[in-house]
Amino acid sequence: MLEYIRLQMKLARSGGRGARKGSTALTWVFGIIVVCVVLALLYVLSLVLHGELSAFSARELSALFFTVIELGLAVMAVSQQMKRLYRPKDIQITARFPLSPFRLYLANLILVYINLAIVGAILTVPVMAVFCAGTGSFVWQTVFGLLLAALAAPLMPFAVSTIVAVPVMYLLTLLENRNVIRMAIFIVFLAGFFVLYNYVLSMLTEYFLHSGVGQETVSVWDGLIRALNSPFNVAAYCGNLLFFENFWAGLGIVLGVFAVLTAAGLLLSRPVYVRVHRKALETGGSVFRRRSRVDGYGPAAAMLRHGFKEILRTRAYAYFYLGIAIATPVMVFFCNRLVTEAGQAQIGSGVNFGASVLVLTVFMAMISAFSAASLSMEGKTFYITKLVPVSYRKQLLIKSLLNLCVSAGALLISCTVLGVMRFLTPGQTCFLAGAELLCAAGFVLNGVNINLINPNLKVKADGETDEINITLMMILGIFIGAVLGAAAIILPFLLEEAAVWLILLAAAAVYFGVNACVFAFTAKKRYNRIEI
Amino acid sequence: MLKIEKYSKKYRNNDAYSAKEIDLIAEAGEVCGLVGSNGAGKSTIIKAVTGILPFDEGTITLEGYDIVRQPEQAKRLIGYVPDDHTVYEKLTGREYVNYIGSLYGASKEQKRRAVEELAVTFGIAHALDVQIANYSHGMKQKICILGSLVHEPMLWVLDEPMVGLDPQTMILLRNFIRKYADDGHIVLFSSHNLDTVQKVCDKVAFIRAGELISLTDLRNEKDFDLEAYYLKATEVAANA
Repeated sequence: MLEYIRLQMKLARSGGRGARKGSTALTWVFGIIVVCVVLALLYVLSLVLHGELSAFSARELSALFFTVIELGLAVMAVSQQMKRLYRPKDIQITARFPLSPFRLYLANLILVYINLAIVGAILTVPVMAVFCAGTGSFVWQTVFGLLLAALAAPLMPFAVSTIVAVPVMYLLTLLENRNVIRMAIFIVFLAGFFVLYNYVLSMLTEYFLHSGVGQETVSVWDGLIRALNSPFNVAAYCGNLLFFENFWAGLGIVLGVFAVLTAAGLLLSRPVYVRVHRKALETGGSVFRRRSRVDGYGPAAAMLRHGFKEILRTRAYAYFYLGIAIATPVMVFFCNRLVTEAGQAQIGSGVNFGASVLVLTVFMAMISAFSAASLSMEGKTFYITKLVPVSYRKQLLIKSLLNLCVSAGALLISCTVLGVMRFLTPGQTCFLAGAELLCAAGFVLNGVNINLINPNLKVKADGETDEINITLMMILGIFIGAVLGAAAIILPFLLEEAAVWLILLAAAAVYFGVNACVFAFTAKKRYNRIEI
Repeated sequence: MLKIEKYSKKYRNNDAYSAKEIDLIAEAGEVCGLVGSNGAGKSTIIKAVTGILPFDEGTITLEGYDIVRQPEQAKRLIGYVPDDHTVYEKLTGREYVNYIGSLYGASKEQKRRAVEELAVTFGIAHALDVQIANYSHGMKQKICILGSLVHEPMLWVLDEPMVGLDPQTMILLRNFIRKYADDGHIVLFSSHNLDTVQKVCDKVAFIRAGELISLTDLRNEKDFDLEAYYLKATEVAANA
């Protein structure tokens, strides 16, 4: 068993050495910058909390930091357990080792704990050191306290993960290939991140502008710290180890809860692991696998679904492409709020409309730019596109529709935000929605036309295209967006609103019309010319 | 019936013909093999028949449908297994077969048959719910075969189908090709495996430097030595 653990650790180390030097160095530099920024933010947050919530001791405030660290470690622990125990890539090899399934199971659990302890120490020591420095409670004992806390911090996440990993595995299996649900969860997380980011930023702004935070903010944090210091939050007891307060009680509770939860976790997860092990040996299959159904979709619906799947399963595209689409309404909101606060006093309320045109057109261009890779991203599988009995026109229009759906979704949410928040009148909102949809359709067709001219079918391993089409389309789109946006901001000072609308609509219609004509007259020849 | 008449093809930036004035007819129930050395033009012919590659001269019709003028009708009758087994790697095997079936307008029953019966026949049923990216070379070949058969095509085209297959699967595929033709379909395939060609084909077309230099009906020539003929023809080509 020890030999197995040593082998796995050696494999993990050699995997690290195999990585490309340049990208590794870049990752390290980026990582260090991120850690420095996070530590700086933590330092400021410690100062703010210590100053504003003076009723609490440093030990009580530490509950917040330990809880966050342990939550992070718990997520990592669950993911590690799933990777090592329930979906191991090397199970076909390891299952044949002269080790009983139980010993293999224990060895993998030990490996999870070792990883967790290393990451736990890397996280706990600097974070808590920064916290102690911020609260002015860093004394010589803190060094020993930090080591003890770093050792204790991974215990709870590990124990919880032994119970949670199996249900999470089943849940993920249910969600496997359910792209709409996965996208919805991604959007919820991203929205949550934006809300949190906005909150922290506004709190820090409030602190620095007014040399303190408002009573409302204080009471929210007061309540939160109190809740985190309840006897049921085991993470808070790590503070006892760090500051040597009620040391034995704290240690006893952490170890006791750890022992009970781990025992329960082992009882639950061991039989599942044995099944995974047996199935791997018997059929090479996996216990956790969702079986997709035989569907009755026609060619068009199947192609549309497939297009979404390809994007969602290409990590770089999914996050960048959908990230932009999700960011659009957020940016429209912030931009309009900024304009409302700053612009109205100086240049009048009409500026909201122009700013919305500018932001939305630029974002429509950025989202639609991916249509410039709609053929390229098929790579070598483009032969299937040529092989199947679906006309070139239908195929290209379905690809365009797919891109337009994403743009239209972002546009719909953005216009709803503009209307509901009363940044624009209902008339302006409806006009903007129609004109921008026309613009987006123009961008999409422009992208497809560009891709037909330069169909680079060489793709990277993950399905990303390594080409300039997207960049070119983004530059073109941002330029058009800037021109239309500038016109929408300046023209209302010179012309009637109706005339401005007409000019903008005409510009969008001409752009769409030109691209539609280019598509109609050249697509067939260019498509047929593509050779594999 | 598959009818290739005076088919010629030049690639862009290349003055030489990759295929020149090819004439070939394959009837229902026949297995037609394309044989020739590397770069002879077998894949060029196959890609033209399937509608993947545009061409300049000649006509190719399947059951009366012209692959250039009536591509959708003609393509609906074709199933194709490429030589490099390129498939949508992000899909699972089942999703792939489903998707290809949908594109060809296959019924739910046809798709079910492909994922249940054919997958068992070709020994890939256990991996149908695994992402294709995790498949071995041979497994990708098998999933390509399933995808090409899901709509029960009239013409089954295979480009170097035996490459990368284990002997068991090779024998299985050879028998399957024969049975598929015997059921009233046309099979067109290219191969370097002369033994397989000799055992399974009714007709053998020998391609050299883009030209069809002979079309032999093996049913009429029981003692035809394909290997000797191939070596002689290649030698002639090398000396020319």
